[in-house]
Amino acid sequence: MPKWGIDMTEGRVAQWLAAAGAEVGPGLEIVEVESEKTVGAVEAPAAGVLHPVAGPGDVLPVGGLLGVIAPAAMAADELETFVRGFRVAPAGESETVERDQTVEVPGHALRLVSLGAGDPPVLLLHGFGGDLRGWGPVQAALARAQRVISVDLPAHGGSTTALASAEPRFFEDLILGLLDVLAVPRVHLVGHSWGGVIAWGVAAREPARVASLTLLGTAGPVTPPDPDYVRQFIEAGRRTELKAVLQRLFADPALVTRDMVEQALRHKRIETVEAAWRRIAAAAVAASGTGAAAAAPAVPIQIITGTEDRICPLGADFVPPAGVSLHRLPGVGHLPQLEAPAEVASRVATFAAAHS
Amino acid sequence: MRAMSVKSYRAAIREALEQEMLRDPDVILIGEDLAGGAGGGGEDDAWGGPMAVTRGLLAKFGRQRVLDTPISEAAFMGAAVGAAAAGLRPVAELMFSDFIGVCCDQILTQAAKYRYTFGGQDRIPLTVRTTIGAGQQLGSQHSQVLYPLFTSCAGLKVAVPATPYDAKGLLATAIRDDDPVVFCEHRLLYRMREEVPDDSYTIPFGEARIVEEGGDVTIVALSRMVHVAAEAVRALRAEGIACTLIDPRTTVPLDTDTIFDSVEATGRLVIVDEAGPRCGIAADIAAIVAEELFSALRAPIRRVTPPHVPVPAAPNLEALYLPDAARVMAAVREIVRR
Repeated sequence: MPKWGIDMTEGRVAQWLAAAGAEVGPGLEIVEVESEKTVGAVEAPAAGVLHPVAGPGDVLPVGGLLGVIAPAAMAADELETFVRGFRVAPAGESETVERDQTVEVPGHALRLVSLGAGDPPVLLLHGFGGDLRGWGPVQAALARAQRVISVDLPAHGGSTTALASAEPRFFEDLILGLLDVLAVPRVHLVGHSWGGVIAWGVAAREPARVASLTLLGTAGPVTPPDPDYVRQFIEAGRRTELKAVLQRLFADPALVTRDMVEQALRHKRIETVEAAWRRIAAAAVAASGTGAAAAAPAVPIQIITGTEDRICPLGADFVPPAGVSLHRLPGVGHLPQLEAPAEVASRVATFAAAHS
Repeated sequence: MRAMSVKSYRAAIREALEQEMLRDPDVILIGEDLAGGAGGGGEDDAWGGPMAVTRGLLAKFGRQRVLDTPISEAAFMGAAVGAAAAGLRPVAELMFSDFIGVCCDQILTQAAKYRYTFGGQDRIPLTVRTTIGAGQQLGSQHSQVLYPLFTSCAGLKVAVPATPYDAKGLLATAIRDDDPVVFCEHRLLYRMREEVPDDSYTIPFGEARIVEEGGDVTIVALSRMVHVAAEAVRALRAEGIACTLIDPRTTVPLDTDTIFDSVEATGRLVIVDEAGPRCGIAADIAAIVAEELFSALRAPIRRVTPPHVPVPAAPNLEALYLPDAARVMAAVREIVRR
């Protein structure tokens, strides 16, 4: 059972995607798992013959045994001995220890999670109203090969709510300040939606510090988000209203869980947060479109967008700036990191490896 | 500078009072022993009120806004209603909900009916904080859960928070509400702790919290019984029974939509309440669901409440009196098998 995000302690087997006895190989999706936050497919980590152990509906702790991939020649009793002897490793022994920490950037205390090792690191910036937990599955996958940092922007997640300014430049300064505090000279930036616009601004100002830029659910400041969505998201005061708004983020509305709605509602009901969000939204709307005239930052850029994105759609007529690659994910909405985490992680890893 | 910290139910309520007093100079506190004993030689803020909820507020806001009263609920509740009519936003502390008996006129007849009687020319933005519940061997006169009485009285809103998070947000909403609200604190929850935002926030009345989601049965529980029911839900999960657990959080207004949606999906309803079985919230919700959703029900509605007797003081009898997880589980098993 994989661990997709800080909060995940267990997962439920939805269905096997490969049959018992099938020959499987690395990268093949073999079983669908539901966590409290997301649904995703587990890829085969090795080649061999698949022997499912857990069945649909079973709830396993993280690290629990979903199934065994064994050489075709392995004897049945040997397999049975392995399955019977399998024990879930205690949390402390897992290979990546996830801890959130608070980093002081002058005037602000920012919550961040750093996983893995290997520089330059990847820095993940969430979108408006989100927080670092949304990166869970992507961050865990990327951390196998390199250092990955996710951070809560001010007035989001576990960071402080005070905002010295709501202008894009303020957030760009903050990210540059964070890199200084962390003593990171160069970074692979990944920004989702509004976080992508901030990442774009950082790359435009300090291209030497940005090894690569991946934009998710946005093409930078040239593509304003649906202003109705932003307004409705801020205005939604009740659970049922907010659920309907959040469902617009996904191609599959069933992915909006009760917990997701509750967490978002708890956060946005804090009065200082709501006031900050109104300022951010106003500043972001005022600034959107201004990037149309500006040239793309002089760093390697890729755009990942869902074909079902209703918040910041990049229509079929959208042409990326010269030199920018565009990946369209079919059947995915505004949150590719939750609807297609494996593909997002793989695209980011490949892009970062090519530009390190 | 963390935005959240672990707070007790008691501290969360105190924080809401403090933040609302800072926000609005018209918010005042009135009740017995809030300032440490009026007119006597007592120590200032000796107790923080009988439940130690308001400790520290006297020093911050002074005797003009934290008022001690004689031991006369009739007198100080009347004064609070009058202050509200005259433009203040009082928070009155009724030590035990059992003491409603001596200030029924002030709350049920005057505060609740004022706006209606005078055609909306004036409002009564009064919050009555009171305590409820058995479990401390305080006997039949200090252990009752009387929110069904407040719920039955048109003109009052009623909040019954089960957690520190809900207590803080619902109390802010209660104080800002322009109509009278009775806010029921369960004494056994005062020491419960959880992460609560430091900044101010409100939770709208009439929005239930869905504590757990499952397809086999709907359980509605209130106040401390939310935790008793949650314990049952965890144990039932191990038996393969998946429960939805709903905490209405306010009985007026009541979030019937959330209850209906869930019962339509599960077809089964168990209501767990510490108030009695007669004319109680369990009876009320059972009647509403039976009337509106009879055809969706696949089994009879079950209520888990104490018996219709005074709360015993003897610890063994009091334990027998109170609903526990085993009784909730038995009720669920009985209707899930049908």
